[in-house]
Amino acid sequence: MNVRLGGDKPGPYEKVDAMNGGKNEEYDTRKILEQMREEYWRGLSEAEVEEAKDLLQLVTVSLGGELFGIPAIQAKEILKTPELIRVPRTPSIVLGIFNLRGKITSVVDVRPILGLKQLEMGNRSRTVIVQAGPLTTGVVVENVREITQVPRGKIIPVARAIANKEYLTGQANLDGEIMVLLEMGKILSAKEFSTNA
Amino acid sequence: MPDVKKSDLEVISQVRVLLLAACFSVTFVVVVVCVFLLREYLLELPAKLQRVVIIGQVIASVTATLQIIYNERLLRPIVKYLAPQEIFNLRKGAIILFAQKFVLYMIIYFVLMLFGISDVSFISYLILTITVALLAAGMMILMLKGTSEVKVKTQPLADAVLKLPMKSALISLLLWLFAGFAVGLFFYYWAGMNSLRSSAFAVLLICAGIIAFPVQYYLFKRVMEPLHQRLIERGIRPSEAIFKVHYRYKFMVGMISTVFFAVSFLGMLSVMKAYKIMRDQSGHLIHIALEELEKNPGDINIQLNETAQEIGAIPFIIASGSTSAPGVPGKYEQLIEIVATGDTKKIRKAEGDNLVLWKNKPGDGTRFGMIYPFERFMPYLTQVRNNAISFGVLTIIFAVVLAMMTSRDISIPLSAIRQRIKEFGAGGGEWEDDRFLDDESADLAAGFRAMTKEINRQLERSKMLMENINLTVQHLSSSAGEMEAIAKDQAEGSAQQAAAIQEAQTTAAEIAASSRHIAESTLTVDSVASETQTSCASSANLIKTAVQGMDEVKETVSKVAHSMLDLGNRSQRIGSAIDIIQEISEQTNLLSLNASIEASGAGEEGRRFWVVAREIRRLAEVTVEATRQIRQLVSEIQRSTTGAIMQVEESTKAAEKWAGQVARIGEAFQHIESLVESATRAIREIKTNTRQQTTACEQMAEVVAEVKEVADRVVISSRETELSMADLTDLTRNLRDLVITEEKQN
Repeated sequence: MNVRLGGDKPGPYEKVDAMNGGKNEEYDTRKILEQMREEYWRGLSEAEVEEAKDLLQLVTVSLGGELFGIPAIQAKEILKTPELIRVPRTPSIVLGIFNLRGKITSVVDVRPILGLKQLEMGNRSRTVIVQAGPLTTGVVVENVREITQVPRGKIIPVARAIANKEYLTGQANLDGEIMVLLEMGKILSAKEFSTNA
Repeated sequence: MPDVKKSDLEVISQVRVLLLAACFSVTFVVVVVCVFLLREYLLELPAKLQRVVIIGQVIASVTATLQIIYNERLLRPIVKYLAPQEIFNLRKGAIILFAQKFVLYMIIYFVLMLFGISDVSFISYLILTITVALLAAGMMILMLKGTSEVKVKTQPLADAVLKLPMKSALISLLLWLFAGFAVGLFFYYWAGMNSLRSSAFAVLLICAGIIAFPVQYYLFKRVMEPLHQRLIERGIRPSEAIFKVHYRYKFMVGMISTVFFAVSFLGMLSVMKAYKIMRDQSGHLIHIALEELEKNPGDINIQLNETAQEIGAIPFIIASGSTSAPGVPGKYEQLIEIVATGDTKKIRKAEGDNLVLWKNKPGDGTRFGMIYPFERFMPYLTQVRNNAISFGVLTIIFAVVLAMMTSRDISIPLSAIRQRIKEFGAGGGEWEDDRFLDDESADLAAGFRAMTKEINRQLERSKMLMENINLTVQHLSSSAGEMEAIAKDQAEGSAQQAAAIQEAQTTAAEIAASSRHIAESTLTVDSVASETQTSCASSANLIKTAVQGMDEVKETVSKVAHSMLDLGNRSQRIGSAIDIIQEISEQTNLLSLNASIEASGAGEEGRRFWVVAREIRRLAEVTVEATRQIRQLVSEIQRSTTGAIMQVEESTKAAEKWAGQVARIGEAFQHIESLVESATRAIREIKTNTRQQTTACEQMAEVVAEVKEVADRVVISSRETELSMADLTDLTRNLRDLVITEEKQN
């Protein structure tokens, strides 16, 4: 008698294809680690021939399902969203405060400011400590992709319609995706943050 | 039969005993008296008188015997009537009588011995005793044999009982008279007793008899009277008790007596003849002697005397011229004188019974001769002659009486019967119950009576038969008319019947055909059912194996589930391990990010660091990806496991359900099987029924065909019946006429 366990789902062995670049191979840890090692040394070697260009380093995050970029100058730190203590009589976008190495730091959610969908913060959500001006605030993001270098020439003006255009400084095509640059300074000093609003 | 009271039989046995005792004692008394009276004689002339005594008591005992026997004959019918089961043992009775006689005689012998008589030899006496006793016993048997088939009329014997004493007493008297007479005669003639003594004896016995008569009568009557009373009480009406003596016995008794007397007579005659011969012989001898003497006269005196002495005659010599002879007894003197004359006629006249023979002496003129004194024998001769005469007379009397009685016994009943037959032949009627002496003639009468009864009965029956015939004939004539009508209807009806039968026949054939169809279809159904049954059975087997397999599967599956669970647990642990790795990788990623950020802040110098950070990030990403994949794998495994477990559970459930289902299927199959079985049975029944039905239908068809045949025949026969009915009516008319004429004749 033949009973198929697991129904019609593909076997576990087939998922390895994505990592191996389309090769339908068995799950070989040693091979994968070797690949990783090679890539690492390649990357290192690549880094030496690279020139200093007019690159803008951005932290690519996803907010509201869309890709945004935070300039690396402004981004100081990325960490997992800690336990936030909600402060009463603060706007809802201020999610709370926490202790960052002895310093009380607040964490905000900027999505309403930007008019973005407030998607649920999964376990990939991070808090990006942004220093814009005198303020250091944590901005909660759904996902931190990577830190990329984008040439300045690639940045084009924002095509999308948004309330405050000053929040968005531009957009760039990043491997097919539109990434919008954020002006954290402006954003953080939005009136939504004031307590009297 | 009325209930026999013991007392009645006791009465009768009393009577018997009494009679026996009486006879015994009387005989004894007679003997003793005889001896007493004759004691002188016993001493004087012992031999002769012994015999006298013996013979005397023989006669007495004979009479006593006869008495006993006759009384027994009187009593026997009563006894037989009262107690038919009580069989008088004739043999026993005879033996008793024999013994009694024997004993009696022995006693007498010893009595004689007492009186000093020793002359009679014991042996001869014994022989005599036995002879007499046997005679007595024989007589008893003879006389009572005739009464063995006693038929007492069912009409009562109370009267017979009353008459018995008289009868018995009369008989006893007669016997005593006879005894006395016989004894007297005997003593006088044979014993030579003087007439006085012998008549004294006779008278004695007669007196004894006369005395005995009333005594016996009253004794007997006293005993019988209560019996008579009792019988009357029982409602028995008086009538005659007749007992039957066969002719032959009567005849035999008569014959024997006649023969006895005849023999005695002949004996006497022979005795007389003997005397005569003796006389002739002596005469002849005298004659020869005289002739001798005549021829040789010698000393006539001496020779004559010698010869005369020899012969026993009386010699005489008459001298010539004298008229007397010397030496002759006086009574013959006259005779001598006549002899002297020489006149033969005169001599013959004068000689009387004596025999006188003489011769003349030649030359002398003397007459010499002998007188044979026959007259001395004369008394004897006369006695014998008298006896002979008496015996002869008795013989004649007996014979005549016997003949008369016998002929009377035969002729009277026969003539009566003839008369009755004539009367019956003339006009029929009942045969009256005549009183015949209950012997063979009575049998004949009874036979005729029965015959007449039978004839009458037959006549009655035939009369009834005639009446019945008449009635029947009347019925017949009426029925014949009815039957004619019925026959006509029948003829009409049978035609209709034939048509109906035709229909019935076709219907029967159809039914038979349909039954056959049913039978065929049931056959197929039956085969199908049996197939189903077999397949059900095999399916049941398969199901059983399936259920077993199910159970195995369940086991296997549960084992699998267990291993799955284990796997799930392990994968969970892997998951938790992976969580740690992921955590690490994430932290690494974060670190790399932060490092990148710091590197970007560092400017140019931070470029290498930035690369490193980038690589770290990449590594972290790869790790993350790997862990993600691993996690995905694990979760997939888990999912699969869970899914598998669930599947297993489901499949277990399913298997159980399956098993349940299979069991239910099994049950269903069994149910089906049973249904199929019952169906098969039903089918078989149907089959048999249809078969039966078919056969029944076929039979019915046959029967119907037969009925049709019969119906056709009935049609024919009913026509014939019509015709014969008409004939019958004519016949009955004729018969009725015949019967009427017959009745008119009667």
